[in-house]
Amino acid sequence: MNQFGVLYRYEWKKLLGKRIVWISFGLVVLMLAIAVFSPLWGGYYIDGKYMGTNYEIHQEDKTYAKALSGREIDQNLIAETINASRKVPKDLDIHYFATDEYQTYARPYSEIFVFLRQMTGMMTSELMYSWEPDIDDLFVKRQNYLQFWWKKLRLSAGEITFWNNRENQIKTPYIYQEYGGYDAVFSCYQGVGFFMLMLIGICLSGVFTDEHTRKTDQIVLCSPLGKTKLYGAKMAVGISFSALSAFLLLAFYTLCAFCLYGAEGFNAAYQFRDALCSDPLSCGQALLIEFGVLLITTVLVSIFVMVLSELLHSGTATLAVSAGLLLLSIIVRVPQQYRVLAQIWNWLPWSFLSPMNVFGNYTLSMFGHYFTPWQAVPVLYLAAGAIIVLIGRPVYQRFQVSGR
Amino acid sequence: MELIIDRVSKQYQNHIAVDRISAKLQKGVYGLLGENGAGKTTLMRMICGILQPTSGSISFDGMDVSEESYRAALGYLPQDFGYYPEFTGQDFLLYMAALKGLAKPQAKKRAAELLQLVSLEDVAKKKTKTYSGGMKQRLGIAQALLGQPKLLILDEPTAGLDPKERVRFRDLIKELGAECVVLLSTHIVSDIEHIADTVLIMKHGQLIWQDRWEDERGSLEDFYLQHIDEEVRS
Repeated sequence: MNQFGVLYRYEWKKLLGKRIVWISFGLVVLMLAIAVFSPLWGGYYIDGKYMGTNYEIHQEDKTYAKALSGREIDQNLIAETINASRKVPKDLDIHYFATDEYQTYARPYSEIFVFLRQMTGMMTSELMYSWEPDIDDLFVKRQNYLQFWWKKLRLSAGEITFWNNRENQIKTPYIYQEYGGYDAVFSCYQGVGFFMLMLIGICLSGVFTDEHTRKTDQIVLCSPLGKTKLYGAKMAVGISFSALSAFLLLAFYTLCAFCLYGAEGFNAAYQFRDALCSDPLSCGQALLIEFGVLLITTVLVSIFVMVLSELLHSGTATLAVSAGLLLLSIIVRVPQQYRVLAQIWNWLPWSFLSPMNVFGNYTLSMFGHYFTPWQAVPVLYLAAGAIIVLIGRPVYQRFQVSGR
Repeated sequence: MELIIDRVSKQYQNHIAVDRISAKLQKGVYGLLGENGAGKTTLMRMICGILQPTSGSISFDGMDVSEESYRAALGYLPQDFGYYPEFTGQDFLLYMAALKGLAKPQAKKRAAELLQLVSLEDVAKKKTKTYSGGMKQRLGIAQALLGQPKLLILDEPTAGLDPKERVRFRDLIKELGAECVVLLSTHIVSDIEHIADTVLIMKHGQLIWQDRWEDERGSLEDFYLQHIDEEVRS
């Protein structure tokens, strides 16, 4: 154990001694800072007319959202919202945002308007204007919309029952809370994860291969612990690096988002952010779950990258495969009609970065129980990680030093 | 103390790098001679367990080459290997000591002794990327001696050393030969002439000559060249 500690420390030293690690980390921090600040930069124009700076627009929206904070989504509030939105003139030559009516009456309710639209699936404003606001009808419409959505996803009868039960656990009436900071974090979550996985690919693809390119493998592999404890120490350093980087980058991004957009909204229902989610979660709980999921995802990907590099004996090839998989996850969408394939694709680490997949409706059924994606996938990832570690061990141990 | 190499071969597709070599090496210094591509490095790598023979077996005092206990008895200086540029000389030895299973206090003591032995104590805290070729070679020799090996494999140990250092390391290797099995390869025939008790000559993957070297035989260089030429003629 003592030697493991020493080896672990020196493996860290090797990793942190690489300039590429610091440069990549710095670049990711810069990218995240740009991602979190950019929505507030510049001015807002409609048809060439300057409406104010993005920061001013955001501050006004935030003031309106704060004014609504603490209000129940009840008959009064939905009636106020719909009636206010009806005051916006129709068939205009200009954008609705530029009208005085929108600014005076509808804009203060825009958060609730968007929520109602997403809850009911009435995606055009015309449908919303013509809707006679009724709190009971709101839930009927939501239920219909969910049934339509679940059918589209090809959920089984058991899954639908499971989600109906989860839906019934959601505390109603919904109470609106301003949650701008959480929304900012969720909006860029996939981007944060993307940068994290790129960082892992760049930094960890050399953990094993550097020994071969530097030709230090000869002295390492013929030492008593070079084939045994060193493999574990290298793996442990790669995993620690990934988890620590993910934690630091997430903490940095979240702190920036909270400072700029506010930290309120921990208890806001997650449905304000994603109306199709039937998990009885608050935004705060969902964010903590996302944190955990990303940490476990980075652990799996770090293991995958390190073992792949040892299989390919090339850091560059490993990086190319990692980047290729990341890009594929962005480009490729498996149609929902291919249920099994779509579920597998959505649950792969590169796709699972999206909150839509983490809090999606596909489930894992085992022993008569159904598990949500965020319950099942981290366990599957940990199991997959352990298997990949076991596969990589003999590959590392059987490496042959030849042809130099 | 005995290294047994039993009908060891290494074949790469159409090329036989090492061809059915058998030898029993006991305490002492063994000098391995041969032209480039004769199979010396391949044989040494197989003895160190970092290259698997196509056939045959290697054992030391009953321990198979694949066992951890075998590796614990081994010290290896490869012909051409790299260092960790971000490590100091001392870091490098402490890291290698951990790989050899030495406890921390023992590792520190041994590293300090060896740094002194190879005259690197003044630059022990400097990064290895600032070391010259000769300094790196001396550090390589130090790491090979870390675990007080019973079986020492040295591939071109005096390459890159200046004449004074070469003589010093020749003497050191000779001293080590009294305690353990030392197998060294070199192109410098005079090095082997001075320190090796037994000479092994390889050609085209085969061991073509193996015997104790007595001064009465004359010059080893002449003998070696003559032997190689004879083999070529035959």
